[in-house]
Amino acid sequence: MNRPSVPEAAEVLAEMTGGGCVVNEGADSSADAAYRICSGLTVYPRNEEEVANVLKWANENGYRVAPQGGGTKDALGQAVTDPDLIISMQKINGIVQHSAGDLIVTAYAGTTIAQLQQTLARAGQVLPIDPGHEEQTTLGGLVAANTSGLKRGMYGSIRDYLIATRVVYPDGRRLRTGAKVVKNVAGYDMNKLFVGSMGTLGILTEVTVKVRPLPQSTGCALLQADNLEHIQKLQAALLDTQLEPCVFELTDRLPDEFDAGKAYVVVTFEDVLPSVRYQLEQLRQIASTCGVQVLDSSDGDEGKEMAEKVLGAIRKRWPTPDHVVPASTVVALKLSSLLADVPALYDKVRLAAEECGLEATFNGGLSSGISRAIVTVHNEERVGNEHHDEALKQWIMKTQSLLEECGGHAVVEFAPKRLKSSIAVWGKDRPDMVLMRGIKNKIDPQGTLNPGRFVGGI
Amino acid sequence: MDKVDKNKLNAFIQFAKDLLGDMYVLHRYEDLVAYECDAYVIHKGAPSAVVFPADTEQTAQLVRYLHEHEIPFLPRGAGTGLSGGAIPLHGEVIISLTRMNKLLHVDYLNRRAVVQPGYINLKLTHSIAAKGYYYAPDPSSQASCTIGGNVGENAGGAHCLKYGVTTNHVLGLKLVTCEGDVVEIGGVPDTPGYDLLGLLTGSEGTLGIVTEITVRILKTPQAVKTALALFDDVEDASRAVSDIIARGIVPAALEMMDKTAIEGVENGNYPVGYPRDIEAVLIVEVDGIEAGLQEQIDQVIEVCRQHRVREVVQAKNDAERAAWWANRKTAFGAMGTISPDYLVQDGVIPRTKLPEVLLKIRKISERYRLRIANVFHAGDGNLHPLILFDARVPGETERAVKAGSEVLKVCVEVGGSITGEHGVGIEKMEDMRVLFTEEEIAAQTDIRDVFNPRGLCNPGKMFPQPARCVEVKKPASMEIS
Amino acid sequence: MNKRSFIYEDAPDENKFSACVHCGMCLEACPTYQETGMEMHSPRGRVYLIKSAAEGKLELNSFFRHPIDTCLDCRACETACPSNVQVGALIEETRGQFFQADPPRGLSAFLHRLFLHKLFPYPKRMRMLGSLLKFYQKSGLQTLARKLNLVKVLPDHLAEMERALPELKRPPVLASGIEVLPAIGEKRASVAVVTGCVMDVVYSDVNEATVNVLRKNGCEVWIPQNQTCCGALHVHAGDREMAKKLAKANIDAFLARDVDAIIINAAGCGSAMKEYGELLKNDKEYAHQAKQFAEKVKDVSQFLLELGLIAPKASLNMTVTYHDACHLAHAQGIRSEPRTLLQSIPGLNLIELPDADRCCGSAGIYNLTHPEMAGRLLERKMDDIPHGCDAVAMGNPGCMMQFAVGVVRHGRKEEILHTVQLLDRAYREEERLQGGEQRG
Repeated sequence: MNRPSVPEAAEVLAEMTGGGCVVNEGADSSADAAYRICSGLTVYPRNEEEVANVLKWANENGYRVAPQGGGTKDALGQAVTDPDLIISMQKINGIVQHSAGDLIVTAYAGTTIAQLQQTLARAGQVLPIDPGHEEQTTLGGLVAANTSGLKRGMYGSIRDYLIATRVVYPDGRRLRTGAKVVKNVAGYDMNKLFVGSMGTLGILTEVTVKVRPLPQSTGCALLQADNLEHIQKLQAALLDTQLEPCVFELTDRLPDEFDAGKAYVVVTFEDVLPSVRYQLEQLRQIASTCGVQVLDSSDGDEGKEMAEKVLGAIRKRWPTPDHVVPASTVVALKLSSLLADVPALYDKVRLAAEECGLEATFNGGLSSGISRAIVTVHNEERVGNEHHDEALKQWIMKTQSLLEECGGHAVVEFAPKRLKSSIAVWGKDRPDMVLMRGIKNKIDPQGTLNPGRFVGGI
Repeated sequence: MDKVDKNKLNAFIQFAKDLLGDMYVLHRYEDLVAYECDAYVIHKGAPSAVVFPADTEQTAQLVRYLHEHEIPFLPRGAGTGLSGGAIPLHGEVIISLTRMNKLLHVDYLNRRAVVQPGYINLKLTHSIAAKGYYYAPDPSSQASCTIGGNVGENAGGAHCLKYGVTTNHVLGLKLVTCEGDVVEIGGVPDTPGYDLLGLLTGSEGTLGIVTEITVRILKTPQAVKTALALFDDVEDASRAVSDIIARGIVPAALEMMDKTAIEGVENGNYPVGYPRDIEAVLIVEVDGIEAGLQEQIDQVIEVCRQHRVREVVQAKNDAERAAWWANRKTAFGAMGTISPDYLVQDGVIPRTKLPEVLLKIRKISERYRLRIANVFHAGDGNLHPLILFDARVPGETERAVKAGSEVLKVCVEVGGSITGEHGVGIEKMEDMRVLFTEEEIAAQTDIRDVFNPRGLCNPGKMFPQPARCVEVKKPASMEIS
Repeated sequence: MNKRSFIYEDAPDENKFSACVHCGMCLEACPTYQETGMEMHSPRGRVYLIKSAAEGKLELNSFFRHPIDTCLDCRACETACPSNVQVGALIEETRGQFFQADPPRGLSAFLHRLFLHKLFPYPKRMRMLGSLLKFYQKSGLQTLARKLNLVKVLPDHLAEMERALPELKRPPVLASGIEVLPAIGEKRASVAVVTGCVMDVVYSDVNEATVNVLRKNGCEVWIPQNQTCCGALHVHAGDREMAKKLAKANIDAFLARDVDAIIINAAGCGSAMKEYGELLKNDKEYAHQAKQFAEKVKDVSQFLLELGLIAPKASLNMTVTYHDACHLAHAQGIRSEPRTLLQSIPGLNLIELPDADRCCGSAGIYNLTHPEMAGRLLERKMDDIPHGCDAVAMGNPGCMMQFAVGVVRHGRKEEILHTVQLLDRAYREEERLQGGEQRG
């Protein structure tokens, strides 16, 4: 096959997309480049048809493609080689249809979560997923990276809301998955195939999700414990009640005004006001029997404000390439475990960091089993420091084996490329890898989409 | 596909007897007859044999043998499926999972339970109720159906409006692949890799056999309030449904039955005592924290009143609520009291299209001269039109099947789906074309071929065939007379 | 064109099996399905086989017969069935076909004839058997037989029954020869009492209690001397000819006098007698009377509540659990009545038995014909009895016998009683106290 040169490609692709093709000149040397997908070409298709044309062309011409939404997850995944082409979904955005009476919304994949939530809020509705960085995160990206936030314990993740998509396959086929109704079992649940698939199977162009009514009221409580046993007690006690915490998060720091360097638990409730008040009161009682102190709590508008402030601060810690402080290296791990293991992991993962001469921050979902541990080191030089890199690698590996020991796993959600080249960012391969490879080979036999970025070299 | 070769089959039967013991292998004609169909009775086919493995290892050995010798097979739970997914149309060997019916482990702290596939749905809730927990998906057949079957069909239920369907509650699976290998899938949330858990749930036994299931268990809600509303007009009831949702209430359940359905359930074994002249009944249930819940049900009642309800009452106690639900949940079976046969459809529509679609269904009923009873999960737009017919009357079966397909076309026309919780099975294979393009169907069969490369595991289901190999079975009485 | 396989009279009724839509709601209600997990041992499976035979797809052979025979006829499926399929009647009708196509042979024929033809229909012979048993118990023969291990020669279940047999202290009620007993206090109703065949010999104290409780509640009690076995076991076994003969004899005996109700304390007999109308529907001479008779039949608990129970005043300080006999709960829909009666006894603490309406395995003579399955069901039943119960109450002699075996087999201590026995005890206690007061 005669592989077209970059200028040739740029010309063809610009033609296809009404000039929406940008040639990226020279190597990017900014602070965030280590975390970004770099490619000689970025294409900005304006609609699904153009996506299909571009992708088909790439597939036929041996051009490796990385689909991209808001770029917040550029640093997620194994970084084997840079792609030849980025297909940015930024121009394909906007709400296709919001059917409030059906609690359903359809939006283009490039629509940001902020944009989506604004539309929904006008009808008193919400997609109850809080990935953070909502101004950049796109709906398509949220699905492809399976991002979830602090409210997961109560509301679940995007796989629980996704009901239909439009997707473009590497050979240019444009397909629909699911149906735009809240319940559907016609054929395989193909939607699921794309949740967390990291753009290795196809490019989502349109996403339909279920939504919920906005909660009438929010209550928020900040709790503090002197030791983890008390938190374990609180977790067991609260989960055994009929209370319905929305957020139940263990964290090692709070916004400055609350912070005193201890272990904290943030609990929020979302329901009608009498229920929120009742639950806050019950929580206070449970906490006192567990030796956990309630620092502050409120409901109504204040509760909402407090929740936003505290939760916002936690979400802000989750790194994106846009938020990396110059002259620093950031590594973020996403930990999945059984609920009961979260408090112990809080200690173990931070201790592991200490042993490597690092300091980790931690937040863990006591009702979701999803935790995040983040280490930031300030580089002594402009470019990465070997000493730090070695320590970071040690910490990642230690944490991965800690999680494996308790039946969970740790995924490197954010790290510079130079680190990722020598670690398994997705952890160990699992026995169902054969089936996953089979799926990949069936849909993308040429290995056009994000080659090597996903599990097991997919 | 031809029936299984006799010698090959005899060798398998001997293998299975050696592996399982004689009593766990059925192969006599009289024993196989009872396995000709599940709860979908329009098509039938006897299996070549039925085998009852006791555990994963035996299942894997059976599958490995069947794979190596190219004998088609299919997994079967309780056989309460409504789309014919467990009917052996090509003489498949049935791997019955009814012996694998244990609750293996309950981990309250982590809110999960591990069950074998033959474990009965409702038994899980019964086993954990004392500690205040339950398993949320509640298909109407929950007293008989297995959780393995629920995974196969991605079963829903009356309460999935708020709590989701099976796929939202499955955390991990042990899978015997179509080749007989054992792989574990999922476990803790967000296992890296493709979401095979989500793909397998609802795959109707075409991607392998699940032998262990980890499910999420929930804390029983603190309080439940149920309202029953009787309407003189179906349209009023439909509008009340939309309005309840528009108020920002997420009911745990929102169910509706029309006049014909009411006639059935009132003649059945669990009558509530509905007036026979009402056009629609609505059951609305809210649950959660007690504080503030009465206000929610009051709002529901108010909405009903705004829509000209004839009578609306709130359940006085658990016994009354249970009576309403027993009546509703036995609605399909109760159709036996007003019609010798029925065909149940399972279309889904955007709930705002309810009045329009119900009207169209009425027109179909008139056109085909068949009564259609409507029982449905109104809250999520999942319709269950029950097309009543008498297979003994020549031509009625065919007319019912056609009327059913028309109903599904209507559902798809308004942006819906052909099945919300019953699955495609045999019944709706052809109707898949109404919803999906050939390309979209091919994308799905591509996935099947990855898991099921020789096409031996529950062949000829779910997807339309180039030429349909199944004929509508002649009604029995026609054969006799 | 297919040939129908049911060629004899009283073939399974097409309307009954066409009501089955194969939904499967009955599966887990069925004790034999719960144990085997096999479709042909389920109600829906059996109905499907019957339907297939009716369509000529199955012959009346031993492979088809087996699942029909393993049915306990417990009717639990009928409670679960949304569509009111009469599975019990279908099974009985099918057994009737088998009985004629392939009459019992060998030992089973001998037992069938001995018990169902030569003993049960003849109260005098039953009384004789009772006297023999009493002699066996009282004379020291029982002790001797046990010491010499003679009972070892009996099949296991019979040997256990021998041990579980209550001490036969009381003579059969029917044998007393008294036809009419006046009401105690103000007369509120006149009733006829069915004494039953086995009941009156083995559990004649239950009959005494029944009569006493009825009289205490203002009933004039008539015990027709010409009554005979109800025929339930004959119907279950498929011997419909004999069952019809017995039914007619009973109709003649009971309709001889105009009473408000015909009272029965045995669930199995009660449900059979309530179904006389169905049994004799094709009999020109008796069809009408059979219906008339059936409408008058009331279980003792059902009747007492309809009449309005005069609750006992003395208290019984006991913890009791209640087992639903299949033929009360499933066949007659009588569940709350016995419980209400028990709860009306002051001091009696009634606790629920888990899965109270699951068959105990007695099922007529099922425990003799299918001892293994019956044993599995009995074991589950005994495991379910809550701790701290003094007694298990129920409304059927077959279940009482089966539970008594369970008590022996599992080394338990609970008393096995009929619901009316507890009521009777309370009334007698009341009398004793009143007597005491008067004396004091």
